[in-house]
Amino acid sequence: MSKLEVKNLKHTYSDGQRDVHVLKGVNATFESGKMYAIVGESGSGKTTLISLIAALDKVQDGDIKFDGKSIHEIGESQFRLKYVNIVFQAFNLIKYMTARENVEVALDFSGHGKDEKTRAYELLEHVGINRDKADRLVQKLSGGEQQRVAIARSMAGDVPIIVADEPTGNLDEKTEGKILTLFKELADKGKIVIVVTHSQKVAKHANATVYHMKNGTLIKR
Amino acid sequence: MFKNMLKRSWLSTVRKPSRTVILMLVLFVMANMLLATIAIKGAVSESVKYAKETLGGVVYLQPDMESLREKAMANNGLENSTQRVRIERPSISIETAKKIADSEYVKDYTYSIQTSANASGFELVETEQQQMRDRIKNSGDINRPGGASGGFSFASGDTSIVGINSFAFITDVETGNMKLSDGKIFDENTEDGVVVSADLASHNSLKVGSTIKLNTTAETPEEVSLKIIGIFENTNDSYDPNTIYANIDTAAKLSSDSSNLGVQSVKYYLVNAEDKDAFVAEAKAKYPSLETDGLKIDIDTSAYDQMVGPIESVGSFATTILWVVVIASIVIITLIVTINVKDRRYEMGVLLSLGAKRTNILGQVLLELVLVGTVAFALSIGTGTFIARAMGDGLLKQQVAMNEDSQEQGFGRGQNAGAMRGGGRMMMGGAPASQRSVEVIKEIDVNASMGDYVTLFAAGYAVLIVALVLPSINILRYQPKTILTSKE
Repeated sequence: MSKLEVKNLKHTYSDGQRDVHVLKGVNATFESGKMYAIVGESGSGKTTLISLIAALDKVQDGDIKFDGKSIHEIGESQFRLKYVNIVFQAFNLIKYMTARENVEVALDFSGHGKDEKTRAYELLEHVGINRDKADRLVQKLSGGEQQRVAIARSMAGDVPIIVADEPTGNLDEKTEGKILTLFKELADKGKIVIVVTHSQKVAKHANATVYHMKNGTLIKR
Repeated sequence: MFKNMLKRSWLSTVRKPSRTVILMLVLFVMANMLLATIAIKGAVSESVKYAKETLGGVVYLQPDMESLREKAMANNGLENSTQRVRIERPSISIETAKKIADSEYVKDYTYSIQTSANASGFELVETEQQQMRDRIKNSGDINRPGGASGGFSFASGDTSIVGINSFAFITDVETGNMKLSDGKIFDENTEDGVVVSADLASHNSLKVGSTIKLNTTAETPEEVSLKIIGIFENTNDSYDPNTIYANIDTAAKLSSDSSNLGVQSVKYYLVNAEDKDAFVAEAKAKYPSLETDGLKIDIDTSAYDQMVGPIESVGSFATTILWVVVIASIVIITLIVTINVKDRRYEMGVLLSLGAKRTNILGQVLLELVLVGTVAFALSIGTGTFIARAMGDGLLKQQVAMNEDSQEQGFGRGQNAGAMRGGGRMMMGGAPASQRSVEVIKEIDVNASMGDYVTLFAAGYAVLIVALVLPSINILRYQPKTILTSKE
């Protein structure tokens, strides 16, 4: 069983006038095959935490290890490529590409090799995007569909960790349920799925282990 | 990975047509200007090379008038004065001329002497030159430079005699204006044989084989009989029909002072123009007192300057335009790329979050520029040459006009009164450099070569790379989170 460990993680940024200690020694362990929800108020440091877990930012103090190896040791770019993928609230798809092409980009980076097109269709099919929609520019898809594409893209590299920052924040209730089910499926397949949300409902729906972020620390509930 | 990068670049290029079209237009204009200036510079360089080959292969041994003037001024205590001084023009002994000519670098050489004598038993053709000569003769002895054939001097005779080592080296013969119409030419061994103009011959019913008599201008004139061995025709408007040509020995017989025979200028034709410096060094070694004797041996830079002046101005103007275009292109493309990169920072953030390396992202943007640039550069091949021709012709006409204006101002001040312009190629005689005239290069053959296209593409891609650096560094130095959150 793979393990992601966050050890005494501290993070500070400057808001222009003063230093803000956003993480003040976060400790947590995430195991494969499980889904986690990190809840908390706006500005509590949830996004900062998952940005560090997704290696989108440099660890200032403390450590993040996957199976005993720290991000620093693995290399941030390599960690993003082989270990983690992130789903954003704003989807962050490449607008001038079709849904399939967005997935193909991720497949290529992960070194999937041949037949990226077929694999992209499969992944999109899996998240409920049919071929017709797969060949449309992502701008022409609905919010829910775009988020599905983003999830399909996150599955492309077959990475062990998937983090999502408010993945249902822009979606209606019905679509939200479907998206959370997809995340749950990923966890069932052995991934570590960490979802940041401000909604307790989301946490309950996904039957996730819930962490509460408060004053720069993480408390397991 | 490259295939993916190329695919992303292609998609970005074709699916953002307005951005692509704007970029392509800018690059197309830039490429046209680049190609035009590169082609003009190439054409200028070819013309200058031609001029160097033409003029650079000829070296003159002649009086150093500047140095002589300075010496004369100093001797008369007139260093800072504008007063005129009399300069004794040194002559070059034929022996020295031949000694220097005895070199592996010399293909051929020529020298001439000018003297005068009085016609006896035949009439001269009435010309403006003749009338002037009569006026001067009546007012006393004088040396006067000028004329199409270079400088000539005469003591008091009414007939000009030019002694030259070979008929072929007469300036008008070299330029094709003067041709033998009857008889034969003289050589160094011809005894008392002369070549006269068809005008002088018909004026006196003379023909090949006729004998003419001339009296020397010595205090006790001596009559010399000469046989006409050839008759020439000259199409040069300013030629003197009364000038009689002979070899050096024959002309010397008519000289008032044949014991002190010397020439005023020697023209050496080199085997290879690039040997000029070696030949000059060798000549100076053979004739160590050359400078102290008031002589100099060098190429005629004034002729070169006159010939290539306007075209070199075009060349330097083209260089300035080239740099302006390059710098302006870098600035404009940097701005376009900056806007483009800024607009796509979130896309870059996404790619980074997917594990893309910074070089991969930079490569994609560069590839997009190269794709658009290649099309724009290729299109400019069709149009750039036309623009280059128009630009080159326009610039050269402007420079030639400016050059002519300044020449006319020069004439107004009495400079270079013997200069002659006209159609055709360079014209140059065995006369001293100050009296030599060359045709200014008035046409430029602008044609873009394969080398120019290669330069265009290389310079164009270099501009694109430079233009990409700043905006890319500005974005890619940040962590993906910073890039993504700043967008949001």
